[in-house]
Amino acid sequence: MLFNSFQFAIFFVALLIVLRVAPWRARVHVLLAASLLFYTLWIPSYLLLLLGTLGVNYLLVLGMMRSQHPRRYVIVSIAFTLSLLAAFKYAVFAIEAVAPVLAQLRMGPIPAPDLLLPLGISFYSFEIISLTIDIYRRRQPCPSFARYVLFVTFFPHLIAGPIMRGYELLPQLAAGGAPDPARTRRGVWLIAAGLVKKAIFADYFLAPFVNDVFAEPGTASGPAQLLAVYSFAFQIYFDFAGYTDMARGLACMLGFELPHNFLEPYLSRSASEFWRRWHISLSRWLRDYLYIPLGGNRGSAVRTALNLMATMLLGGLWHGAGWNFVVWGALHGCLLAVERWFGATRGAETDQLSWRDVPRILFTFHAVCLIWVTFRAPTLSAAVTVWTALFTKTYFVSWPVLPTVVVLVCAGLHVLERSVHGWLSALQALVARNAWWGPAIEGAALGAILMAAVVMSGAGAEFIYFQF
Amino acid sequence: MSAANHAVRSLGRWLVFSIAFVSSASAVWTLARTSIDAAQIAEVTTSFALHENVVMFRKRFADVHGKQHVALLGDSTLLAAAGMKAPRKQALPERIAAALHKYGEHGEQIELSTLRVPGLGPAAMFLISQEIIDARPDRVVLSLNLRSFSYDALRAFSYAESAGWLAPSQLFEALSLPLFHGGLTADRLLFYRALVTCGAERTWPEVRRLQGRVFKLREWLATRADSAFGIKANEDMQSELGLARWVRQTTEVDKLARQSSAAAERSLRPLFRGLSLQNPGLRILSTVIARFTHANIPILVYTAPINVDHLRKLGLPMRELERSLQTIARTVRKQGGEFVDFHGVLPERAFRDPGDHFTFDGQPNGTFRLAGHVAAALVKSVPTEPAKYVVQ
Repeated sequence: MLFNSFQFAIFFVALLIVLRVAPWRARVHVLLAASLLFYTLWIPSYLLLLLGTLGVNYLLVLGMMRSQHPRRYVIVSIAFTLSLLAAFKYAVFAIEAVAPVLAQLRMGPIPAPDLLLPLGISFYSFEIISLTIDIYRRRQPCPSFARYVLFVTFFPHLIAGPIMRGYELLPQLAAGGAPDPARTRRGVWLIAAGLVKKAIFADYFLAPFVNDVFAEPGTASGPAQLLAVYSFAFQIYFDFAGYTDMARGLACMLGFELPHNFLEPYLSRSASEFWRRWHISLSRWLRDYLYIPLGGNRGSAVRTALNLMATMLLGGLWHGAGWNFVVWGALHGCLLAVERWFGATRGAETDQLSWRDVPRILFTFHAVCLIWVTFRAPTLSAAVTVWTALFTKTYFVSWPVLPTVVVLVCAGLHVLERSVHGWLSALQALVARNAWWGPAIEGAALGAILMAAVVMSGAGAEFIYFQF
Repeated sequence: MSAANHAVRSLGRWLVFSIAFVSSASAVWTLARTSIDAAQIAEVTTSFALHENVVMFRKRFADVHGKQHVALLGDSTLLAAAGMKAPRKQALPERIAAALHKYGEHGEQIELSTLRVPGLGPAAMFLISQEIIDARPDRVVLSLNLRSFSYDALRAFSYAESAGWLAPSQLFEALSLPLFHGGLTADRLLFYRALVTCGAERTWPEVRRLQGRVFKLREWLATRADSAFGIKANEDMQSELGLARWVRQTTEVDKLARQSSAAAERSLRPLFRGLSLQNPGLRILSTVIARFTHANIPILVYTAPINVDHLRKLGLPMRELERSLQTIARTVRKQGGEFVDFHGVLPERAFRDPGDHFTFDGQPNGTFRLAGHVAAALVKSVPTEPAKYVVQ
């Protein structure tokens, strides 16, 4: 179910009512049942896969806790989880990759399975692995089976994150959450913010233009190509950040806190800072469970560069089974390695931005935008065509007005995002204090946002990150 | 403040909130309507078109009595229009009806009622199967477009909301089918069903139509914004992209537009790779046939012709295609249906466009030729005595 769908609204309102009338001690079980129902309402048969994965992993965790050789259980658990992910996500890619080799050897092609990627498998696989490792490292006590399953399947973050760590969510689940009016109000506003980002900006204003231009790579004029690249950068941001806002808002309304996943990523002064601000929960996972175990930056410069490259390559593959995702990860790996080589990350540690940071921000933003092309283009050769067009076409022709205005507005909103959130918080506080005008302003704003999101949802686009 | 005062105050705040909420939501709705009307955005076709067509089909169907009543179901290959100015009598069903007369009394007792909807593939056939069964035809003929087995066709499935009219007994079956490839996930299936159950099947299309028109408003805005600056950047871009799309998808053969190699391969990919029994389209087709045979309605499936001469020239693997057709034939027969393979009956010049629609006049006349084949198959298939129903 999409968070911005009518059926989800019905599901969520029904859940709030059930939680209101259910006894407090049953709260975890109600949430667990709701989360499993949420997943079932996509493709019922895939619930068995999810529960099977969780059941086997939980048994392995229990075995690990009692064993003299817990490491073996960890290895089996990781291998099992990753093999399922590989089978569903990478089997077709692998079969197609080896097909030319088999043809050279005059062997018949391997039939590709007709499988649909289980929703959220990349996200929940990483959560299962991190929880197993954290329990193995004794950073996290083993939860009950119900809480273990709910930790992974908690519906606000099940489909597209944030990728949670045990210490972030399990204590909250143990307490049953802490719903209160202020948190509920914050949740409602987060959902509204997410709707604006997703339905109005990502789907209505940005996606149609991006889809048109990338459908025929290299065909449109230079300005249109450039605007499409910028538009996609903002589309994917508003799409994913909008989803995250809605996920956080829903969790707030249930009495839980989910972490931030984005912190104005396009205001980053370096690629490493970008990865601390973009899809934070994934970056953190890759750092803690891949980059540091590989040796991190403790070895030589070459070794560090190799570790960065390996981490980003796997990060790219995590996003999708295709050469364009591999190249996307490799380019980010190269950018990070080059930055580290030249010491360009220095000075980007503070949170405060100044005017002197503008050139670095612009450089990083454009590097990231250029790399996004491989992410969006249907094939690698299409990405090369777009890059070529960007650098060879003339820009001294008319610029399409609407896409230009939309990109400028998106950039402005991004720059002012933190301030906008601050103003909204101040407005909420003001509204909360005023007995009569407060509800009127709040009701009018929410009604307008909700209806605007409804009427502008004609494209009915899914969230981009649902495919990963 | 007493508890009663507090309660009244809270209620008052809720009331103010609700009034403000509804008022502003209505204002946005009205603004959207006014904008699309002012911009003269045309009405859009929604996915309810399928259901609307079925309702009309059943009305027509009910008016025919006393003959071997055959329901012919198919996609744009049965349409006369589909972008050309062909008179209706030159469309395939009308040609089949004319061809049946040549078989004398046997042919004349067959009355065809046609349901022709663009994109009517196995998924759409499943959604309307119960409605067709309830109409109690003596026989059903399915025109099967081989392109409907591709994932692109499934993804482009645009009649999801017609699932709202599925019979409750069909819901479980629907949940077990791979309809999700066409975006019909369990939540949507149940939601659309709930809409119809609640009697909201008139309100919901209104919302969808408004959404569709507001979506089109974006294009209007883009053009208007350009013209305010005296430029045509958006129009020029759309023309360039349209031309590029045409060039990418088509090629010219003897001054006729044909699918390019990449487009042809993509549209029939599962068949060129050897159709798997797990193919979603095939699984759904198998269920559709089983539904008709369980209802004791004989069903004849024929494959709509494709431009095999052109595909052969492109060097596409025709042997795999033949093998895939055998898989389809086996599946249809296993479920109790009859299968006739017409995929290769028409020559290159009997196709009018890259979408493999048939020519309807001149020589060779693809529609006329195919009609002869279908009529012959029908006469062979239909018994001389009317069928007796066993109502379940």
